Amino acid sequence: MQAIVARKLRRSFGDREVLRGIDLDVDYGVIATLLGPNGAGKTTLIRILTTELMPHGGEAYVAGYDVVKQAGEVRRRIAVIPQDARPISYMTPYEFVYSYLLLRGLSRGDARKAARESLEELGLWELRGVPIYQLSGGMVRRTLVAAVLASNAEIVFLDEPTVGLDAVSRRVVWNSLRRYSSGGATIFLTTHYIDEAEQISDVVFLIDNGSIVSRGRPRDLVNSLPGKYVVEYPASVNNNSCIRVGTSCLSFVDSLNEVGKDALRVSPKSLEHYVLVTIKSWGEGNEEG
Amino acid sequence: MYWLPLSRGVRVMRRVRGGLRHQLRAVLVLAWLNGLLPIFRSPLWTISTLAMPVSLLILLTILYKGMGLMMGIVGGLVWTMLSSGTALIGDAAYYRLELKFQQMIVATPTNPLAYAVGLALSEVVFTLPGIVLFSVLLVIKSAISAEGALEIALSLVLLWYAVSSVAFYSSTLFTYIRYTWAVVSLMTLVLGILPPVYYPATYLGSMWWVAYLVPTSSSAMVLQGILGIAHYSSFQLALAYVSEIVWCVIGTVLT
Repeated sequence: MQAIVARKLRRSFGDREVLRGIDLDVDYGVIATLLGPNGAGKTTLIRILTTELMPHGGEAYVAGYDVVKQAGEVRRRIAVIPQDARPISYMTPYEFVYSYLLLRGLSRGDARKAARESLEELGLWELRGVPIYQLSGGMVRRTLVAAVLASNAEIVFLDEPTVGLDAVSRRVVWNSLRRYSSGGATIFLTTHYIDEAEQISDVVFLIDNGSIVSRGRPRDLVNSLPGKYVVEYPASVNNNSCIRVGTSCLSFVDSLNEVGKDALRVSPKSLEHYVLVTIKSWGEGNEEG
Repeated sequence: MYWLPLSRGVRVMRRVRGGLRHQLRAVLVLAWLNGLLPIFRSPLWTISTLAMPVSLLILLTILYKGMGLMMGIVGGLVWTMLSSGTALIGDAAYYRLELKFQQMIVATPTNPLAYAVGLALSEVVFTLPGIVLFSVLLVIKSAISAEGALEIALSLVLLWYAVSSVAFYSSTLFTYIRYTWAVVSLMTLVLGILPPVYYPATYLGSMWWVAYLVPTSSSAMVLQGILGIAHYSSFQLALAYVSEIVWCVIGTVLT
């Protein structure tokens, strides 16, 4: 059985079709990342998979249960951090995590134990009694992550979980996510940090304009690009082998000797370059996505 | 079900509580985190909710002595219940729009009804100091029978249910948190000041039917009738109960 399955999933807001037939398969025990520009449909897809929003067509299964017809069963097995979520600020990290676990149905003993383990793992145990409004933005975000990872849900959905985190805090979260998924659970996350997706993902899905346009392991996707290096030129440069992305033009070369005099920058090819050349609708997104 | 870690990297599945017992516990957890905890964190929040009804109580007592005091007590009890409902609008909208806490709870075994009841109960817990204050004043200043006390309690519970259920529904209509502030102020005016909450419904004269349009004045009529500070016929009191029940039904259907 797969953790997440979506078939021809559709959803509109008014006249605007945000999801245009999403097909998706995610196994257990992996970190799957959904990448795409603003308004591509990432958040809408997560809201449907977490039973918050009804699809207008197609079907989706989470943990083997239909997200529409068996929403209750799905909810028992998932945990979610929505986009821009924040914990209740007058609570302490311990109170927030503990009460969230009680609302998830854990016994008080299990909740106490899991809350402590999770707060320790995310480096918040020493701050467990400090009101959240006194914590830094990174610690506030880590409190949310601590809550959902303490839940021991089968499938965890994280909508941009590391927004606003510094480099160290991001790595703390990455390590926790990796540890969590290694236990057999699935983590499905969205992010705008492509380096993050490259670092922690087992599988990446690219969503553009409401459709999945590419999927695969980060390394495989990068290897599918030609050459070894990516040379970035101004878009005005007339070069037939150059792929225009916004105000730049990307050219893939095997040797640094091939770099032209107008080059803005040169770097080894990466997932970011794959995303840049695969996504077609950069800058077209709007709020609801 | 959830994954229980035996050791790092090895998990087994255990059944989570999702039945009635869990829902009841979820209600209490929500009442604790949104009702009791804020009182302990900052008692000033609770005291501030008492500012208006206590001010009106003092004003009416100065102006009308004993009768004013009783009107102020009745109004204070009704106002406190009303404020628990209006606070629910703000809190439910805040949790949904700003914190996304509601979305986090959607993805748990806690069902929407338990979430709504938990938040509604938390508002009552938060206004408990006010309820205690006006109840103590009521006991001290009136010779109320046990039967009368029960009837007052029933009327206030109906009011709480009606106001809370409508308030929870109303909170779902907002797409921007600041809009709730204006609506809460208007609701306080329309439900707490304009209708006969702090004055007898008999003052309305030919407009008597206005008293039955909102649950606050219906509840106030019941309380005023029991305490003998206004005289209503049995039919009028029965109609007040019907109004409260109808609002409870409307709130249930909407929510």
